[in-house]
Amino acid sequence: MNAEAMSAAKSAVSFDRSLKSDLRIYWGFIRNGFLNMLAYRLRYVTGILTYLLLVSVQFFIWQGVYSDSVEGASINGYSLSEMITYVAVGWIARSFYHSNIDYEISDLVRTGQIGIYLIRPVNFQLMLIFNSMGESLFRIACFSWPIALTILFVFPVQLPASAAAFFMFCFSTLVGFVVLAQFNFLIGMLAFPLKSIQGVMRAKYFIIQLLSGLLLPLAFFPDWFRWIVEVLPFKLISYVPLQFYLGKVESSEVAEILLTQAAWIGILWFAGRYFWMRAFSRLTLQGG
Amino acid sequence: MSVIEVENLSKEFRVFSRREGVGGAFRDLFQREYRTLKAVDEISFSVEKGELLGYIGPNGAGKSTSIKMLTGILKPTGGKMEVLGYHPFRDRKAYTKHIGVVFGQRTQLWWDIAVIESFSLLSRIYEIPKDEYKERLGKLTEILDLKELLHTPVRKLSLGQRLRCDLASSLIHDPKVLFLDEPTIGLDAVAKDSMRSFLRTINRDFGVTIILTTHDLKEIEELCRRIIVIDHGHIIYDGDLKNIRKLPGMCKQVSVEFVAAAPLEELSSKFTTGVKFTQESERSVVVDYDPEKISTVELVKNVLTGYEIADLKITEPDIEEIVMKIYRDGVA
Repeated sequence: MNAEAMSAAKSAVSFDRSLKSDLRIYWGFIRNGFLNMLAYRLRYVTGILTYLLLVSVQFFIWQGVYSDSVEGASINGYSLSEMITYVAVGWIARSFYHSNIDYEISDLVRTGQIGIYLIRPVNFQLMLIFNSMGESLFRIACFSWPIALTILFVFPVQLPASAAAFFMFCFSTLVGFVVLAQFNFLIGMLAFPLKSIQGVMRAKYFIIQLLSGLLLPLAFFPDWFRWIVEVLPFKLISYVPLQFYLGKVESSEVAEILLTQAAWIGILWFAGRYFWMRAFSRLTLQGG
Repeated sequence: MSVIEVENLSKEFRVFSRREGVGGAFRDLFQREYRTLKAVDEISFSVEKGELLGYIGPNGAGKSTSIKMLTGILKPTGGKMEVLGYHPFRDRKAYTKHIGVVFGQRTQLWWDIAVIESFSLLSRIYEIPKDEYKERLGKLTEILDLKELLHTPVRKLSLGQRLRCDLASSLIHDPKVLFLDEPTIGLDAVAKDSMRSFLRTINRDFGVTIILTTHDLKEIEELCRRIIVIDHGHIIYDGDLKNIRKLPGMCKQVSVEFVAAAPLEELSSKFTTGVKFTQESERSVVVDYDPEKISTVELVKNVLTGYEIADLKITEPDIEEIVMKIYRDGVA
């Protein structure tokens, strides 16, 4: 074997090793997030009721909207049954992909506690995302499924269109988690110049609900607005997974969707990295 | 071999100065006034392997800012620094594997989970092999007496317990340099004492280089041979702690109690420079003198001849007083 091939093989091995050890490190953060949530598990009992209430409100609204039309008729391509499924499954998925990274960053900046995380040999961005992943896994294990069962029991929700559709729904929801987590990271970066981002976070909360398609499928938006929303990454959070669930995605479209998902994850990662580097090199640590 | 090399290291902050009152606050919205604050101003020093260095200075002197730069979490605005061959800020991820840091005022353990879970997460972060981790955890648990604490969430620990756990967490990866920023703040005397003996042990037996900042000068006196005093961003003293007593301008003190009334004026006329007499009570006088200008023997001889003395006491200046004087007057 010539030297070049040797070194290539060696670097492939070392890449594999570093990836493995990285995974071990960040698995620790997943575990950490999970344990952290466990400390406050009671909070989630009330959460279940809140989700049930939210879905109920949506259910009655849509029942009202469809009450004038003929049995089985559809509005913008959605029948009442599909609409109810869209809303109910959308909220169940939200209990998983939800994350608080923006809030966590602003808190770390405000208290100066951020210094504590920087004395550790870890990537700040990955650390927060994986920690959030742990919290989401906790919610799946202890929170999402009781919500799902309760909602499925109370409301006439359709099953996924097919096994493949369900798989793509789960996969895309995971992508949705990553997209939202990274977007929240970017919002968190605003805490460095602004110090307090309460207002921004509140605005973001409503904007995401609208632009992700959680409140309404994109087909209900006026054309010009829909065009904007299609270009933005937020539809990947809720709308796209739900399209898979309802079987509304043609197999010819799948490749393009996967590409869009990968592209946005990449773009948001590098944007996050850029703004984090910038913030870090300008960091003034508050207090002590 | 030097572990830390710092050359002309500086950190400037741009501080937004707020105007007064409601009108001022409105004007601040549109036009901000900034001024530049030099928190650390071209400091240079080096630290050898195995040293236990006291890094002291009054509040706001630039201590914490320098520590934050040396630990890689704050970017310097000028100068050079190198620790263990790394540039702390630029090589942060690789560098922080080899150092331990304790900020006494905040915990670095995860607040809501049991202490042992924090340790196990750290063992992953630092990629410590399992056997090694077990061994080191066992050792630290023993010396720091953590056994009872390991399964308690951090938020339920007392301050002293928390600091012991924090110290253990900063040593779990066998760091070569340990930065301690006020590690004993708020501790009671017993806890402080055991903390000190622990620091001495890890410095002496494990060869860990330690940089210690504290306001407790007794602690410095007990632990450190060398100190660096920083004020207004400048190093105003760097050297042996013992020599600080011999600095010019550091007065020693003799208290004399006479049998009869103290002959203050007579005594004052006997000495010209470097001696100051203060009457304490009718029969006793305190003499402050500069040992550079007049030796203790000469002074005492002069005071003794011709008077009857009831008691005489020579006192070395207290470290606390010396440092306070340095803070106040600088080094002459």
